[in-house]
Amino acid sequence: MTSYLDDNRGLMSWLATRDHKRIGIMFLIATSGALLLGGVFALVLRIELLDPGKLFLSAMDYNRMFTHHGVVMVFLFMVPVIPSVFGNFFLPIMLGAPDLAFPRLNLASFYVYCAGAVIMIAAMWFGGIDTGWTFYAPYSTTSPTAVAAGTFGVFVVGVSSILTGVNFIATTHTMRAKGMRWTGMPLFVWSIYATAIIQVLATPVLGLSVLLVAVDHAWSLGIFDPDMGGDPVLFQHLFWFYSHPAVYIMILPAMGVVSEVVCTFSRNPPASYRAIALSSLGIAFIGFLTWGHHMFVAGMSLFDIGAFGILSMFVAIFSAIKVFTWTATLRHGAVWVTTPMLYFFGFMFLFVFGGMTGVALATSSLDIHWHDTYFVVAHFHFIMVGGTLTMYLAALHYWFPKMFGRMYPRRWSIVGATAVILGFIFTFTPQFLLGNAGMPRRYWSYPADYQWLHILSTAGASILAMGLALNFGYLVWALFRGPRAERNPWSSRSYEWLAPTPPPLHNFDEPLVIRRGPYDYHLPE
Amino acid sequence: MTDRHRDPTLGDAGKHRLALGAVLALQYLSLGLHLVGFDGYPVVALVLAGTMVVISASVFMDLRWALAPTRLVAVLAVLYLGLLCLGVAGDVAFR
Amino acid sequence: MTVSEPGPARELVREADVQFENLARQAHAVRFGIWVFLASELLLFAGLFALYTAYRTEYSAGFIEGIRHAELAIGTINTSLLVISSYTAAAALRAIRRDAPRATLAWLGVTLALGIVFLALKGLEYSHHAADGALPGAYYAFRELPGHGGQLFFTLYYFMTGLHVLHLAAAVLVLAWLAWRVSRRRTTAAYHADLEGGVLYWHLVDCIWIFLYPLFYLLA
Repeated sequence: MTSYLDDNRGLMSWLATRDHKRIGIMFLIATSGALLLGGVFALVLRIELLDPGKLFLSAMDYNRMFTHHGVVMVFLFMVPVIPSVFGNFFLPIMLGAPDLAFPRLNLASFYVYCAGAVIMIAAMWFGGIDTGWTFYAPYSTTSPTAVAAGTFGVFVVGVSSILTGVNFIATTHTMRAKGMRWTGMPLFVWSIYATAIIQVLATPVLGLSVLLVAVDHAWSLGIFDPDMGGDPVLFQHLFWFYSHPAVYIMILPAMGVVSEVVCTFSRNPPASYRAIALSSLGIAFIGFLTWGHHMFVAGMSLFDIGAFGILSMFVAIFSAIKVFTWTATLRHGAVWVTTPMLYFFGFMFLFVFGGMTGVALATSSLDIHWHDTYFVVAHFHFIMVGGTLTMYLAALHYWFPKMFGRMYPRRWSIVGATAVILGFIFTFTPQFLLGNAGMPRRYWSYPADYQWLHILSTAGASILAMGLALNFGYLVWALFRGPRAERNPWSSRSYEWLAPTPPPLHNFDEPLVIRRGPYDYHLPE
Repeated sequence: MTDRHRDPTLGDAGKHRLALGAVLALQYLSLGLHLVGFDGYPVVALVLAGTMVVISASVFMDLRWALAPTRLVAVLAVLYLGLLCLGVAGDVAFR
Repeated sequence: MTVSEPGPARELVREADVQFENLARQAHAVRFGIWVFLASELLLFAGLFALYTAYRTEYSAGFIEGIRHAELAIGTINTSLLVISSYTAAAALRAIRRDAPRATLAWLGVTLALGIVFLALKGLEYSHHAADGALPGAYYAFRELPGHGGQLFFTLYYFMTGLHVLHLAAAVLVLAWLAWRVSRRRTTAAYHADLEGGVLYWHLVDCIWIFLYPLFYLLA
């Protein structure tokens, strides 16, 4: 059977496709562009910060750089990447379905994402945005930069996210193969499903909050303007009601990848399937109860500070359950250290470390010291980059053969992984020290005492950038010149490996019949 | 395998008329109580509105006969709307 | 509107899309997907209800005064119109399920008419407020209710009812398109998940208004 890559060639056959695999690839290209753009903004920042004073950026331009970096990375890369690339590609296959429930909606979701991205990038190009990715009122509603257009772009990208979420939820409920119960799905599906729930329930609130900022900026709605009786803290409530669950949108799919990689490369079923599946739902629902911990010093009531502080402690429990379960999964396993596994080891160290700093930050008395410092910046980069980006790279390497029918060069991939992980550690560990020593975030200049830590951080960022560039280089090479991959090079038991490599248009030559579980390593392949 | 699906029932026209009558009655009850005016009316008004929505959703939107996942979706949406209002109220009311 | 009854030669025979085993499963998936989408639409309004809660707590006098200046008659009539339109929309669904496309179109027509009258009355109401200077945000100049409380009340009023108007307008367009589909026999008794979806959306718009009504007309 012809693979989905060869079935119908030509640009239009891709742009007008309904095939979830092709849409996943288009998202891969778009999000890779976003990663590059966001990364360039980051490098510009880090270079400027080499010197305590001005190197080449004005203060206003510096503010634009960190805003653009955050906005592009969060909305155009981190939130959509694993769901819209790997979720799109593998959710139907893992369920044994020929496509998602709503293929045309899927394509629409891609184009809406592109439209939102174009609007955002246009805003960044023509005037820029300097409010920080958090768009706090009242500065955001009065800033002389292109806030209205930029926030409207974010709104549009949010619509794309919601449509994807609707599609994934409907697909999981209604399109499982005959014989596949909820407790028989691959764990990656659980994580994508839980993510989709958050996307559907949380994103509309972000949509409203940025819409209010856009309208206020354009037409002086004044709803958050103290001069008109408005309360800026209310914007923060609306914003963080989405943006805290959003971090779970960013990490849950990565956790799903961990589950798949850990089981495959230890030849073990998960130590507890239920623990991982249910903790994914736990994160999705309890994650909504914690948003106020971003507002401990904003002027919120003591009652809310107490409530959100306590609730924030609970959500960490689910992540801990996962970490312990993954570790236990390795026990008595035949561990095969491939590149995805290297990223997994990096993930475990960085995610756990970063996660614990999150629990520390959620302690309101400590947050008073750390809020708006580099400590927070380091914390979330440990999770976002150390957690999500590493597992995104793991997913790329794990599923590359299935998606493209080719294998990448192993040695280069190990070099790449090492550069990424080490580069990351050198970029962000100094930032914990910077923050604890009092260096505020989003500051363009700083006292000379902090310089050595900034230099270290920038050096690390260069290594990280080189590691990512290397990844990109050999993966693109492998696309065209890599050796052909077999159907199941990792001997995984998960269902996507039953499909041909690469899969044909409707994924399976014959309808998938479930004869065993996705982690039955005690059974022959 | 998939969630068991069920075709919606034809829906008794009589039940729909009854529901319409009930919702309109509740609307005008609320209006009447507003015109009378008393302490605690706002809470009553919101409860009446909530009742109107429950009737409308369960009869006109077929929630009465829907499967568990569908009902769960509706309940969760309302709960999370309430959660946001609660968090905001907890801030503004206790500052 | 005159529509001839379908004959076997004219009616389009619908097959399930390739990813579904049969039409029944497809209809179920569409129905469930629409419900999930409705949840997201409700959450879009959630932030506004939260803002109302906050500002009402802070400016209760201004809000109560603002409600006293609301056009109660228009608000009440509009509420009844939408409630009745929910009944007629549900009746349209009943009609298509018993394979009566002409009745379906009639009920849809009534539903659309009620929605359009709502929009017209709303426009009238906005023009009254505008004439008084009760405009949103920085343009607020309502002399009978100066101060931040009134300003925020009317700003929220315009934004919340305005967002609702946008949704109602969209629902009108969707139902109109669905009526066209029914008239062309593309939506039939055999498969009408699209009409179910459109009608569900209409109901949501009605349910949201059922809460907006007390918030802006009664809670005083």
